[in-house]
Amino acid sequence: MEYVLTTNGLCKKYKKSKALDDLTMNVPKGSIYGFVGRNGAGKTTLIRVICGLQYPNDGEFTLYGVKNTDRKIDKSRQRMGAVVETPSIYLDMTAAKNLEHQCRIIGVPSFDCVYELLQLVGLEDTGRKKVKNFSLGMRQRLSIAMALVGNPDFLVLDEPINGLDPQGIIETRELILKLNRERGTTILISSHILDELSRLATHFGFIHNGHMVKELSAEELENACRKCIHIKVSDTKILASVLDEMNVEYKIISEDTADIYANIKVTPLVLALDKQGCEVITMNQQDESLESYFISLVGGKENE
Amino acid sequence: MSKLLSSMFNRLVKWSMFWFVTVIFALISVLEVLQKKHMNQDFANLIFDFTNFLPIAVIAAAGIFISKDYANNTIRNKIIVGHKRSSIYIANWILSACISIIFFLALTATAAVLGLTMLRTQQVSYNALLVNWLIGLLVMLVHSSIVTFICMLGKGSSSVLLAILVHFLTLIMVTIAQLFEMFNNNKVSKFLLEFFPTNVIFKLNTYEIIDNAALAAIYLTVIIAAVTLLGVYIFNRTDIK
Repeated sequence: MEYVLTTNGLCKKYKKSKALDDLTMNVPKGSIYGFVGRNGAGKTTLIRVICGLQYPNDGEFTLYGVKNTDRKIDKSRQRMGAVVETPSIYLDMTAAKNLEHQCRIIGVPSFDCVYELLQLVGLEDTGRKKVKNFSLGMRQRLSIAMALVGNPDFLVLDEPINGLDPQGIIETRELILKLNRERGTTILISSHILDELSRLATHFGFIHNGHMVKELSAEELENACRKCIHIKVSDTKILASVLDEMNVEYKIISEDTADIYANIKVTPLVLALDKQGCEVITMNQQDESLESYFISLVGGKENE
Repeated sequence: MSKLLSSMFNRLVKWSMFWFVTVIFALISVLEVLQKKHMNQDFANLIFDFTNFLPIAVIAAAGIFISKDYANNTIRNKIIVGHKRSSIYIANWILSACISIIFFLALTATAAVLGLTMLRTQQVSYNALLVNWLIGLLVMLVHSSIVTFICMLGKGSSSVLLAILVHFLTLIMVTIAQLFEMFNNNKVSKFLLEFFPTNVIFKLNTYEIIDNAALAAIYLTVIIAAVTLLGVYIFNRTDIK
């Protein structure tokens, strides 16, 4: 698999506290990578580090295969756009002027893209209104448009739906999906709003206390969070043959446990197992939401 | 670097406050020439009469301009898209230097053009005038370097206030050095008075600097280079939020 961004043992210290602690992650090309963590988990620090705003104390990362210590890293950064934390825009300019300014910084020769970008983020009607008179949601949309100047291949969005109204959240989601599907833009999106991320991301990285707890694809996460019956039996081989006969989807977890992904009638199953000499020890229904999965990963109340 | 300069100068030319201050300096010179004409005075050292006000104007204007990038977090946009930090620092210094030069020219060039055409010029030493003018220009560039240093590393809108405070501190130091110089011929105070940029600008009025012009030019150039290189070095290693 080709990766746009890989980090290897990244560490970042602020005085005595460790914001990033041996963080290793891989963002596959063409993916929407949901970067999940609590407030203060280290999401923004990682984004600042990969954007070149801050330097790691230890470890390394590569952007498009170029190491952060390599002089060519600045060239690699020309392929990325980012919104870091708060909007980075001139308050005394209009939305269009801000975009024109960004075009100049990047070296985009014409401003033809300005109106298109304003349309894309729904700010085409702002006219001569200065950004200082924009709502937080409008500023957030403008920041996304600023990050899109120059058609970056890799877009980094730090909490992009903060301050957006429900309509804005839907539009931002559609925009992210559109960029990913139509332009093939790889997107790293950090958020603690799990529900929103689950509608977007193709890959997930769970960060806690600056450390990557788990990295998995959306498919793997779906399986992990899927509604199932968790069953403990004396012999999973017998269980497997019975379930095969019943034409039911399942997954053997260990020698004596398995997950059954279907709404089955319990009595016929137990009777069939008993008939073949297999004892049912425990059986319970699991319906893990993304939230509860996240809490189980980061340790729940223990870490509050 | 050219992309950065293009974007920054585009912002500068649209900044009304910058043009307002430039026009004020030009207007001061016009009024000064008219007053001298009215009083039938010689051109003398007219062009340096109000240069004392230039450093504070440069610190305020360049400081506000540079700090805006931090106040709005737009400095991030430049780093994220791959501009080298040294280029960002140097571009800011160039812009700050241009603000200095434009203010300096608005004051001195207006005074020179009008003064030399409207006033008597018997007492004018053109050589001394030119040397003082070049030294004055270097002093302005020193102030540009210092304000760029403070505002690029201060990383916030409050750094303008810090830069102004530093300027006032240097004025106090110069005053103290003048007092020392009055009572005993202290080497340190003599050195400060001779080459301290804040005092050099005071001395332009009286042509005092000409005796040590070459040394003053070297000293001022060294300050510009040292402050700028140190600024680039520190900025290259600084974390930005």
